[in-house]
Amino acid sequence: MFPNAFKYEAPTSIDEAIRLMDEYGYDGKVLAGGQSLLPMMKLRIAAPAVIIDINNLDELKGWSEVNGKLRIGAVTRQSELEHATELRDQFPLLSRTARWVADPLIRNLGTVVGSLVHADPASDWGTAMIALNAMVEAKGTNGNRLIPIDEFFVDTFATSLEENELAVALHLPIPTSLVAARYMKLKRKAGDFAIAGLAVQVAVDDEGRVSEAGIGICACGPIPLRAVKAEEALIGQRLTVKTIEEVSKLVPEDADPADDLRGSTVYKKDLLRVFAARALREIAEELHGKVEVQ
Amino acid sequence: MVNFSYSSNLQGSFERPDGVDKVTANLKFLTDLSFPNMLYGKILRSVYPHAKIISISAKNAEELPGVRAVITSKDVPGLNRFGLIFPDQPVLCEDRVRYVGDAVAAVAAETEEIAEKALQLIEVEYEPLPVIDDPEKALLPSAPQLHPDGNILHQASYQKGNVEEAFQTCDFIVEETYELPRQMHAYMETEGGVIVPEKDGRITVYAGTQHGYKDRFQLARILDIPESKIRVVSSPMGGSFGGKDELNIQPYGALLAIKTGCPVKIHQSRRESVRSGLKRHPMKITMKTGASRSGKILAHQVRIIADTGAYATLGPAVLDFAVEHAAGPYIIRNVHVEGVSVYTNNGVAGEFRGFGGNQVTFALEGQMDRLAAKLGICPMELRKRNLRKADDPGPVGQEIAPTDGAAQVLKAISQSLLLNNKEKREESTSQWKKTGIGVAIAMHGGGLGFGRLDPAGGRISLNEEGKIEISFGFEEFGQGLLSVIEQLAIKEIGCSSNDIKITIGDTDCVPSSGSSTASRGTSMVWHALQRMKGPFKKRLLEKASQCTGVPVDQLYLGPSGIWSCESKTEPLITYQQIAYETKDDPIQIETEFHFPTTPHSIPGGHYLYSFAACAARVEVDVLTGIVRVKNLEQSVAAGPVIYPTGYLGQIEGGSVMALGYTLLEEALMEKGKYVTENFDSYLIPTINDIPLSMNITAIEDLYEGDEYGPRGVGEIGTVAVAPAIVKAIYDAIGLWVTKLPVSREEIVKAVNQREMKEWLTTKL
Repeated sequence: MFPNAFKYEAPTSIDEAIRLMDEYGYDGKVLAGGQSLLPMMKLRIAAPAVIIDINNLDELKGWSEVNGKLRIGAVTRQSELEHATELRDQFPLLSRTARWVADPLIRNLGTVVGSLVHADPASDWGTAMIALNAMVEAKGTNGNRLIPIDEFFVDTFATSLEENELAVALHLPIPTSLVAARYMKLKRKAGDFAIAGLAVQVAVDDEGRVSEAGIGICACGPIPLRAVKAEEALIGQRLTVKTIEEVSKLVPEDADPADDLRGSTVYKKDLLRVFAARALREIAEELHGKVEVQ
Repeated sequence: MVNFSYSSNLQGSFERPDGVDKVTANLKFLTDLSFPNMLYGKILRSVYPHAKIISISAKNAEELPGVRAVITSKDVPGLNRFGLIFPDQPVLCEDRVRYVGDAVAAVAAETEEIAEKALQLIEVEYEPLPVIDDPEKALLPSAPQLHPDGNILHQASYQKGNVEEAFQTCDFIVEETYELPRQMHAYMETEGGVIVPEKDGRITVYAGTQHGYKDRFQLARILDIPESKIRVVSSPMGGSFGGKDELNIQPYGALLAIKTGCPVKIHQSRRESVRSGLKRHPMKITMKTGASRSGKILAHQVRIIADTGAYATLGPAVLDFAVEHAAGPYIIRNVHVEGVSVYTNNGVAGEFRGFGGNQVTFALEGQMDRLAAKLGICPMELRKRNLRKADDPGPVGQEIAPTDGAAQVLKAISQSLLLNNKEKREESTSQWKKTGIGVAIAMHGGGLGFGRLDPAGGRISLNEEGKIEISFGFEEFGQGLLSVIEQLAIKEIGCSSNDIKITIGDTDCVPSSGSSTASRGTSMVWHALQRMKGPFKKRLLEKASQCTGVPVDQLYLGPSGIWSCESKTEPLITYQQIAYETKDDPIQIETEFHFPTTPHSIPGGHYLYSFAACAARVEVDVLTGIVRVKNLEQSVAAGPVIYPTGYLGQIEGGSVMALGYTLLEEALMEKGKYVTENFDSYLIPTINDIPLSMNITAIEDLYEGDEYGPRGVGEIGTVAVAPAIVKAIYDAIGLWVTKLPVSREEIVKAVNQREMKEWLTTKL
């Protein structure tokens, strides 16, 4: 189907984009990769009167190190992060997550920040950003602010961005020690949204104890969730068989999945446990070459 | 990187007559057609699964600028009903709706948007009635009556011997209830077309169907005009699988076209298609099967409840077919089958590739595997011990064309790679995955069966242009009928493909051939050509002889014309020349006959059967419950292969469709409303879900003296797949699946409850 008729704006600066957002308010919609927005418009689920296309804004492209953080611009394509070998050591979760997102065609156009702003509870990027403790940089008429990811998602398809605020970048803390990460996801079939998914990133100190842990839960609640209990239980621990078993059981406790066509609550919670165990096991093997029993 | 390997003994590949146009998007489907002054039609369907209609007001819709006509039941001049067996479905509901696909009104407007808007302006006042969403509830005495004769559409049974007594003598008995889901045909092209009022007062219906003449008959009855005033152009279409056999949009388009005097196009959206269209019958089948210690099956008792939805269409025939095939290719002395097809307020169930055979074969083969496990013998051996012999009667005791197909396919599959490569069978891609293998066989009747009008026929002529014109009243919906006609014509007549013109799918110029259903097309084309080729060749040769002076016995038909034994490089006389010579008395041969039926008067009893055996290897992820079919093999006994690519396409495509039926597909309904309205929630297999290797073996030998030629293979490839896959799951994890599609939850639950739990906790 064709979308409703709309007015097209292509600002040439961030300030102009924000001015347009301010002017059109609810009638305007920002276009980045368009991989969620355009299908919704074609299905007439969304019918914005004005499209504000930010793809011409060069300052939103690519990534760089800023104040000890990795700053990723808002129109950076998912496939760019997927294939950025220079990011693999410090940010392994980026490429590991990207592989699970839809298909290569979508990743070639879709942006990470766009996915976050769309705020689908089944967003793989939202889940990964929870694990990475990311912050979203928003710019509005009153200047810039940094929103921690846990405060960014408000509800299904709703974020804490103001109507006239543009998400311009993503900030990821640069790890100071050895990290490993996994993204796990189960779909009913290719191209479908997740039944459930899990993002895990772990940093270990010189003694092999977990110094930082991030675990994001996908498609098991109104927004991407954080497995707080499991994260806390990991800190200071060695990745032993026993720890992994105990921690993996804690992950579902922070999930709130619904019974639906993709599976029952019980099934989805069990999946999260399986994913957590698998992910931590693989991480332990990667970091230490094996999983210690004790 | 995944390596797909597809192999078969089917050699030779030919270009389809419609192939290049299809892959280059040059072929115009009927829904692609447009005409000057064309309007767009839309159908307003019920919002309730069951309700009384208190009033319908179309006034606001009629006044909307751009709306050219609004019709309700009052605008139907003839019989306001349709249905292939008996007409019970309202074209436009008068006072009551019985499912969410029921049509209440229709509009024609200048644009689709206006038509859509107009639908929203039609005010229908309903009084909701209690919804029957389950066939068992429909049978309760307290259930509301959906039709004047109650809620039972049809009952069918078959009995021989005495099962009660026989069960007393059995050493082992298995009893199980199997539940089969509502499957969607999922054709790429949804129902649609254009209906054009012609200057001479006739109408032309450009809309896909599986039997143009039947549509014409039904439309004449609705429109109250003679059949001769209607032309139905019904090919090509983008898939049907049985789903477009019944009327769909044609009556609305025709009524609107006649009322407005303009061509009207209707093309349903996927949601409308799901809501209004046919589905495969959900069935609940209970089977009790008993055997002696030696593995002889002594008794088989079957009860089938089919949910036929709101209206009949071919529901009675589907049930007859299921009852007939409930004992399949096995010879059992005591059999009792009872089937009932029940009206509910669910979506209409009807004709679908396999026609009730898929459901009962799933249950029957499940019984065989459970019995074999109980007896402790090889499931293949159990089947072999009870298998029909060539001269045995058919499954309901009727005389059939002798066939050794059952034994042939079982033997072929037992020699398959899959069953004979132990290492490969057990190879698993991860420690969390368990592999298993399963085999099942199936028997499938062709044609409509005893007591049903099942006419066949065709025409062959030398037309004015010198083309050998072959005409059939069959349809091309992707199955490759055009290729079959072309290949058979080349083989039987001796001409080349350039000499042939094929005409199908147009009631103004094709003979009556019966329906393109029931695996009958290929078979009937072959039969018709056998009847026509002799007289046709004779007429051509006589004329050639007359023109050239060469005796008939030295002439034969070849590429471009008639050749003599002497002529080496070019024909003695071309088809064009003969056409010119015969322009006053064109050569034309027509034939009419009936699909071969059993002489025994068993309603729907078949005479010609095809067989298939399927072996499947699966990998079950014990942690997630995901099942992947890694390898699939099928052996098919359906007589000579006419068009290898098409044959392969039918069996491979059928396998994949059945794989979806087994693992993914269910058109879920809640309280009479579809939950799965589109392909976001109704899942069909994609390239990612299909087996990494498929191997198809065609067994072409017919039983000695069999003169019935090739059987159709449109359906047989879909029948044995589901039971083979679920047996493979049992082989892998020890779970007997009784309900399709296979539930991931059930697998995880079973794994957690079984001895595997220990294995899991130590691994995890």
